[in-house]
Amino acid sequence: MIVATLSAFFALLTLVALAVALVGGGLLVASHLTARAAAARGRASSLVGSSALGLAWCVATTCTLGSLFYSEVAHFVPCELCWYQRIAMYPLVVLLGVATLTRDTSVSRYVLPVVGIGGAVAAYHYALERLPQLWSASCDPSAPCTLTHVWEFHFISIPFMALSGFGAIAVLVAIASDNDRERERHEP
Amino acid sequence: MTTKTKGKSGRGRKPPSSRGSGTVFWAVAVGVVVLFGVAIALTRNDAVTESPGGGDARLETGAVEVRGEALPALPDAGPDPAVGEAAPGLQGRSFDGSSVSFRPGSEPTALVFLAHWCPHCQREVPALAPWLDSGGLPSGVEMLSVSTSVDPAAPNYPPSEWLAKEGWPVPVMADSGEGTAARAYGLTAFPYFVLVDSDGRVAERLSGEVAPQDLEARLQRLR
Repeated sequence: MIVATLSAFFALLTLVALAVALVGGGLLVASHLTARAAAARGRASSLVGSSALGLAWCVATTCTLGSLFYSEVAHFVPCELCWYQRIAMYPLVVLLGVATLTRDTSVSRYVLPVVGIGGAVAAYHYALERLPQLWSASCDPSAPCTLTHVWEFHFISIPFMALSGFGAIAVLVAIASDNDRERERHEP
Repeated sequence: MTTKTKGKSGRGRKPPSSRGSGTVFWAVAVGVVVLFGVAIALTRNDAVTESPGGGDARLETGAVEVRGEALPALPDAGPDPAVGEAAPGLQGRSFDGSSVSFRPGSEPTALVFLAHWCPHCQREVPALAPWLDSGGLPSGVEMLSVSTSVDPAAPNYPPSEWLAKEGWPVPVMADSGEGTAARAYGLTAFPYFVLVDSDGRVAERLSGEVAPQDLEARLQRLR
């Protein structure tokens, strides 16, 4: 029961993270193309910019606690690709935590490459889950990467949760940097 | 890790923003609590509809007795050292508790090892079932399946329901929780096939999805 409830909860949080990643990412890209999108980006930046690093830390912490819940409480054995995603996600809790306390938006230059690697592994893992026949014809008996432990709303699995988390962190860190640059530009 | 400074903050720290970051965090916290309530509401019905005990008491795993020497693990590449070796006999039970056994040396037999959570097994079973139903199995050749690596926490559990839903027409032996039968046959991946000839010796071992026509051709050579 607790696994089902928390999986549904994590899936709902994933929807929020996905919305942040898609809307925020789309806005960041579109702002280079149209003045209207640039204005919307400015409004979004001023609305959440000062909170963005803290929110990114919240996302990383939730992802970390969620992965620990699945391995230590639900006893889902992490596969090889899960471990690579953990290696990318867990340090972000410390990096973003320190950056939030010191209001250090330059952390983006350290965070974004790690997020990119973690997100790429998560995307590959999700594709492997959905189309196992494209990569191999058999399952490893110990901890196969093709095993889908959680399947919510017909499209959310654990790697998808990680992918959405990495995406949301990237967008929030980018917004924090954006907000900082704007503030520096307007400071006398 | 220091931030770019303009010489004002000295130690690289930006002054706190006057924007409502507290408001944003409160809004997020309230949203998280609401989502947790929604998750509880969504899964409450699941708990109500789950019948404790699950109705019929099905045997998803069972004790398996192995007679004979265990086979070495199937190597990733190169010749299989188990080919020509005597296949071990198996004695166990099916999902309904009835006795199921494999005694090598009576007739050519294909042993199929399946895991309920394995997506390749989930593709293989519906591929083989219609072929078996239409008489694809060569005459004189037997087939026995072993449900192994059973994990109640893994997807597509229980295996008895899965195989019944797929209309799997082959007798099933429920392997022990420790995978006694799988270990005895040197299983390294799912799905796993062991073809045993009429002398009770291993003719071939295969892992991974096998097309029905390919399996049929291999079984024809067993006769």
